[in-house]
Amino acid sequence: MPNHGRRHSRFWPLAGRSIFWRLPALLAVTFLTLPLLAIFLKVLPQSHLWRTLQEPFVTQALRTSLITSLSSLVLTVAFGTPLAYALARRRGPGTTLFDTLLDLPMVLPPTVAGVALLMTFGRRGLLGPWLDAMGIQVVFTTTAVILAQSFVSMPLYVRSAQAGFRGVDPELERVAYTLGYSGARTFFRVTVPLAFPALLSGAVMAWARALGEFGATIMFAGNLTGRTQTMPLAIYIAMESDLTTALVLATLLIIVPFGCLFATRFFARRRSYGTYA
Amino acid sequence: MTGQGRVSTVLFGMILLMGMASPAGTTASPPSGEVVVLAAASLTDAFTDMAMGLRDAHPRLRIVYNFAGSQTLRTQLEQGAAADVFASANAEQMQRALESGLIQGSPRAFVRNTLLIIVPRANPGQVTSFEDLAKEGLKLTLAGPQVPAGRYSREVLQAAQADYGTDFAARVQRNLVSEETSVKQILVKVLFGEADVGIVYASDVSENILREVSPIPIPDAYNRLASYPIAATQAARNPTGAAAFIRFVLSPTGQAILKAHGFIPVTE
Amino acid sequence: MLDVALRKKLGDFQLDAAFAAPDGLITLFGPSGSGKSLTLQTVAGTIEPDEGHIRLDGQSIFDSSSGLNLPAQKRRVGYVPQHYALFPHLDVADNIGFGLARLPRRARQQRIAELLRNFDLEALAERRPRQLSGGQQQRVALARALAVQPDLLLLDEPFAALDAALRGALRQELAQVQKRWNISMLIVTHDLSDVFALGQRVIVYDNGRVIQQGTRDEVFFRPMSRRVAEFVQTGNILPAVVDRVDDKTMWLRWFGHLLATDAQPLAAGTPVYACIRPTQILIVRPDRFAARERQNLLSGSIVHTDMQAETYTLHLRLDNSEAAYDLEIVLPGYVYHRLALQSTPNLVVELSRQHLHVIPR
Repeated sequence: MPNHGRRHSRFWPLAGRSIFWRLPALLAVTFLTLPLLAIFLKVLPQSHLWRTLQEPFVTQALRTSLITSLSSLVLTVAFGTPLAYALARRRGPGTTLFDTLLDLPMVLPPTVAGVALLMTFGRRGLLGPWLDAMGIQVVFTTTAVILAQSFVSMPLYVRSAQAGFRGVDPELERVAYTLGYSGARTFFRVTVPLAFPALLSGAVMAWARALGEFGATIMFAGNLTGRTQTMPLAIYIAMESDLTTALVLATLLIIVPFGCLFATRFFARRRSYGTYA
Repeated sequence: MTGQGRVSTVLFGMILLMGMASPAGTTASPPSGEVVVLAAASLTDAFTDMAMGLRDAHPRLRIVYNFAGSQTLRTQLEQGAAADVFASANAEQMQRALESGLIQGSPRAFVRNTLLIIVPRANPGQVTSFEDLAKEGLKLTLAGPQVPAGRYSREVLQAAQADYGTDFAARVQRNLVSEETSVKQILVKVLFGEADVGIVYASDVSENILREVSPIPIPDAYNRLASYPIAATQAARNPTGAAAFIRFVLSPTGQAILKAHGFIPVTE
Repeated sequence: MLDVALRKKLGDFQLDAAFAAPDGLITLFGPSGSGKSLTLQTVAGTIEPDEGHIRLDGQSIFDSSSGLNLPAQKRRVGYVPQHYALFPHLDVADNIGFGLARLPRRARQQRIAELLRNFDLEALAERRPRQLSGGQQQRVALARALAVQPDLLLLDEPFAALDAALRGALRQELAQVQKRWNISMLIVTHDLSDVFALGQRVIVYDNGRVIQQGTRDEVFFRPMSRRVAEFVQTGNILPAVVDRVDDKTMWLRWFGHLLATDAQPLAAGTPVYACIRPTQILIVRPDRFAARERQNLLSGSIVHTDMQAETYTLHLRLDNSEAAYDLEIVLPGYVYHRLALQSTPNLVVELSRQHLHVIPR
């Protein structure tokens, strides 16, 4: 059977040819890329880029950022995947409410997210006495950074994964059950491979968001080199004294997520199976 | 008078023309229009009151504020922000603005600020004196060394080593759990009881905040007086208004407002 | 032998179905939303009924009274969904071998090769599902389900997605697979042609209930209710009244006509439906009029002719009738032309007694 989904790929809407569509579109692209370009143009002529990158202040921030953002990615995938699957497969009263609640951490000002986390995990927060009794300190620790990042980035992953899971026909899972597959085996052999492009791009988006997290982190985790000072915090601090260091760090924060996002898109596009019926 | 003034004169009539023609500056028309003031974040409350006080003296003058860290303000100025007055929290940023040719005339110190130790009301760290900052296991937050408040705090600790031993500053900084990006962040951490102790500007501790935190003074011998300079900008669009604003800040009324907000007037 | 008795409430819909069918081809027939697919899901084990039992060859796979609910993966029931649900990320060979994951590699490869050969798919082993035609997809889906040697195969609307030309061929193929593998199949369909071609045993569904079950001929020619008669497109469902019953004949009054049918224990005055399929009405040629003893002769004129490729549908209005038409007749095109019906304004038809089926109203 021909793949009907591709039939329109060469279709170029009539409206799209008009200058009234092309000009605003061009302006939008320029507006979105020019500021990024501006940073590059400012940074590239600097002669001591490599030395700046080797300053302990920079390497420590890099290390902290990598450790925390990867940890929050692990948490996000471990806990977000079952949630996304449940949301994709179950429809009931309250799912719409829950769906909307899930978007809140994304639209909340990060500072508010930070205060909310303080009020939950802080000494005087909801869970404070309980955590205290167990001898667990959260605020000012690397754990706090990971929690702040997970809080703002997990919804991104869950959204994408949910859409991915919705795109997997439940009939495929039913067939797998009748062929002797358990629920878990079906999930890993059928559902995950088919939703993989969405899972991957969701994970990368979430990771990139975690990497760029600033507001909630400064509010909830504070800022200490080697412990809670991530790259965005280091950039902010560096702005107060040394613009070059700040810009070099900023460039890294642009290049690395861009590379990852681009690679994912590229990969996801190559691995789409399309529909066949 | 500026070229701009002349144009307005020609265009908008006799009254201004008469004012211009007047030989004595003191009888010039009262300052009016908009004055854009870039002011250090720590001045937020005091300067908001300042604008109210100014309304009585110059009813036709409208003050527009932009509060941010002094370094940010200086950068904005460099990038061509339209502003008439720059009020910095430290001399360094003002000096750099001056060197960049952004300042009109010479800056004047208009207020001074001191540092203050604050602890949560419950005082979980049992801090009762300046010396207690070195108590082991304390959760201390300071501003980062790149932030003026953070630099002053570290100078205070250095100065205190004369009395408390050469390792005092090091012992205190061992308690550091966070180097905050601004004094406001220190306030948040102490208000929430997460930090046991923090060092902030006296001017930051308003009466509202005093309901939640207890202040502990830093002995005058070590305390640093941060001096705030103010100046009109080179690119001021309303130099008359800018001058009027600066005059008011330096006036007894203006100084009283600043004092009410925990600052030390320059006259003292 | 499949023995099913179920209750399941889904929102406003209530399934309350019971049937038993011997091995072979079983079709669940009825309009969309009547509970056929839901029944299929409960047999597959992907939906749990509220109560009841499902027995397959005497073995319970679900029984609410004893709390037994065998999970789908242990039921030995194969499933071929409506659009076949082939795994799009696997090629044909891996689709077929999907259920054989536990076999050693060698044995698995051998079994896949065997199935590819059996279903004439060898040349397509490395194709992806979206590169296959509808018929090829069906073969892969069947091979995949049969690979694990189930005791029963479930098929949900197997031909719904195909065009009419392909449907006939695939019905044939399915019937052959059933015979060759000697496996029972439970087929859900709302297409009468599927039932006619495949249904050795037919279970008729309506609104969550089984309203008739039996052999294909029972359901087609002896519907138990007007509803079933409509489902199987009886065509002529004539509202009549029992006039009188002799020892061998029951006489029905239908408008001004008296129709003779086989005797039934019904009292005079009982309202009934007299049913006869459009293909069972005989056109009596004037020259053969006296060839044998005839009953239930009616005369009228053709008011409408609908020509399909092979068969023609005539609407006949009886003499003195004021209805748009009274009888629907279907006959092969060549008969129509041999009798020159296009130029025969009036004709006589016979509703032969053994074809008239009576349902009490």
